[in-house]
Amino acid sequence: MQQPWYVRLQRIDRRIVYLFLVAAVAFPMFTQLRFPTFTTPETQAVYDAVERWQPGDGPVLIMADWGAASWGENGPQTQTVVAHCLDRGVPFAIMSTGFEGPIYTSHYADQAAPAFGREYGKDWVNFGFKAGPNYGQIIAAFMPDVVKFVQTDAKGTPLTDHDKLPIMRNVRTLADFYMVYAIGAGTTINDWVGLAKPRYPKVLLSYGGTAVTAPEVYPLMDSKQVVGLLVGMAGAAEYETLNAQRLKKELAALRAQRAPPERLQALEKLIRTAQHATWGMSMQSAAHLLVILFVIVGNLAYLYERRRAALDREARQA
Amino acid sequence: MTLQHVVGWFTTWQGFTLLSGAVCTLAIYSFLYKENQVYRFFEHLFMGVAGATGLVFLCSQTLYPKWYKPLLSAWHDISASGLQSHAWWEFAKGCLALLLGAMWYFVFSKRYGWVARIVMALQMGMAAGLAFPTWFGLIGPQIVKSFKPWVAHGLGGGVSLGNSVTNIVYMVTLFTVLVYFFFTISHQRPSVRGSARLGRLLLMVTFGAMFGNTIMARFSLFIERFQFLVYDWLGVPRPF
Amino acid sequence: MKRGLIRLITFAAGLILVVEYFWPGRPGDWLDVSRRNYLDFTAVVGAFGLGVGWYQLVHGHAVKLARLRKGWFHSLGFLLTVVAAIGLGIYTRGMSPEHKPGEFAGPWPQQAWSYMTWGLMNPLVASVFSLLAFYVASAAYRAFRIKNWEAALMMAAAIIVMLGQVPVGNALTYHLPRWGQLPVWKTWIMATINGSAQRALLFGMAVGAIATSLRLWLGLERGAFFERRL
Repeated sequence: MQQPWYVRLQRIDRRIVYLFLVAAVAFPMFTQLRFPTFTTPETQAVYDAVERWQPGDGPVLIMADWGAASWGENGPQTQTVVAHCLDRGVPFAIMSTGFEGPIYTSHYADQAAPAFGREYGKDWVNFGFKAGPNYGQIIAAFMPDVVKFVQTDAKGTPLTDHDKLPIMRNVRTLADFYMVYAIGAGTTINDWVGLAKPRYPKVLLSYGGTAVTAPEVYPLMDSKQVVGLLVGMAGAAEYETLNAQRLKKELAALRAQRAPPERLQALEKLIRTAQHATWGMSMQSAAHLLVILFVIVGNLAYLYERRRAALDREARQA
Repeated sequence: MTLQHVVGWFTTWQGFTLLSGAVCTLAIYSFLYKENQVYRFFEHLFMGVAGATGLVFLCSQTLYPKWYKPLLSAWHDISASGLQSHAWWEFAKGCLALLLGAMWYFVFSKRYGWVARIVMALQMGMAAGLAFPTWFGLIGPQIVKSFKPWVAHGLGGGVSLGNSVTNIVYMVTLFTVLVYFFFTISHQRPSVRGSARLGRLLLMVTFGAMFGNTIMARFSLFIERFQFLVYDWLGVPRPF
Repeated sequence: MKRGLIRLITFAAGLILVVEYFWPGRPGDWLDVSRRNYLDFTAVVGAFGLGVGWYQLVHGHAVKLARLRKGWFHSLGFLLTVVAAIGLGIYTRGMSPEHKPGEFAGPWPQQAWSYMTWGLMNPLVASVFSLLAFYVASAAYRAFRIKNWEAALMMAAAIIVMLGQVPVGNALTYHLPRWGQLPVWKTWIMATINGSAQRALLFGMAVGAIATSLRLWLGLERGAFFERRL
């Protein structure tokens, strides 16, 4: 006997659901549909922290504890902050307890550097992958003596070679850093807050996390232990919007100053390509609307099934 | 997508990397239709390449600069200077690290498996020791900042109704959720029942917010892959 | 005797770090330098241990291939990839593949090493994890049923947060006053209700973590790992 329509509707083959998902995500890709982004206070706080940097404040430490598994969220978060740092001339160091993060972060830095005339060793350094059994242990060993813990950059250059790595000239401990920007798919920020903040209270902490882990960081923002937070792809899109506004003004200024064409081309390319999260949010909008539709349709069918069952029971009892 | 773009898949490193990425992605996605051998094969490739590249970087970026190079340098110094050398301590440290590191692999021995526990005990003791400063450092300011003024002021200096309501809701949520998790007190007591019930409802709102965030997180991963397939592999121009 | 030795090592390993909390020492003095050396040393020892799981994986697949068990072809693919990756890694001396293949001038082994990251590992890892999007969409449709008021409240909060996070939610309520805008509601829910509930959960986790760490450090922990005869 064929099941009633409201039961069949609830038990649609999952592959049809998958096709709906692909169609929903594909739809905005081929349209010009785009909506304005709302910048949340937590993203604005990270942006403002980088904007407030002054020469002499020390470099930013980018803890790139992410990989291809969370590329969709942490990738744009990294790319946009790296572009901001390179643009403002904020030096930064890349490190990770996983082997993928430094590769992808360095890749972003290499791609964006020509647009701002920045150089490896002077404006950024890649400490590479520093393995250990325990994240807290790595932080605890790193904080008091950065040079001794790291020893060499990812290319094997000793950190004490200040000719090749002038960025390391005044860096000895974590206190010499301006901010730690921890990006990852897990709550690595808890270890930074617990171990680093009490001993080095002047070092700012910010976090770029996946949307799954970001809710756990809100209490740390409330207590001012963490200065700001990028929440998944949405946070990256908000930061990209803030960045794009500034970069477009800069491009106009550089054109007026008749800057070298390679630099103009590199900056144009960066403005055009460093918007993965912004493009992605249009697709995200469609996906969220689809999920809401799924929940509503599924529950309407379920409620109808329950109502029919209750009516049938009443009819039988009567 | 132009002919040149398609030819590039087979003739240039960039194109071949794009093609390979697309093949890998579609092979993994074939699992969505049905479990199959192609998916299984690529899953094994994933394990192999991820594990092996991780091992290579472990050796080149951690073990080589932090253990091997100092050990070798100390050995050369000792060979040159003998007992006058100052490198004996570095050399001893390097040898001890090797000995303790090798102890991990006794876990594969039935008879001497207990030797691996020595180095495990070292790491676990260290993790336990680090947990105290980590958690105290994390929680201390949290406790202080939990007490918020119920009559709050805005940026202009005057009393702000919005901030006051927010602070009250904040403290009520914190208190009722804590009461909900107090299992040593019976939740049937009238004084506790209401608070625990409210805490439960507010937790439902929290879980709803986490669910919403989880949806965004999961879709972000797929959106990135889909963008790669359409914009990078197929070369479809981006709309903006 | 062996269990006593292990308890002693656990205690001593943790003692050095617990004492630091009460006796921090001055930066640069013997206490500070000793602790730094100790942490650095144990990080290297821990790094050696990362090969244990890897060895087990390789051994398992090698045995499967040698005995031609079901799925041996997959194990062959696994082992060939491992050999290729290690071979290229050794040849390139673990060069960090920051540039995609074809984007830098280098001999073919370096291009192939870069390809292993950008052409194999990156898409495979990203694709495996992106499957979750499909499962969550399927679960939202087939499994999420609002059976009581609490579930309805949870779903209402989820819908506000889902719409508030994306640009279309901003567009729907853009023209309303600030207190009626979805992104503002979403930010308020995340910062206030979510923030305070997460803080309460954090307090509970902290008490549990400190208690468990204390038991582990003092050798009071029970369970198969701690009580088995050695």
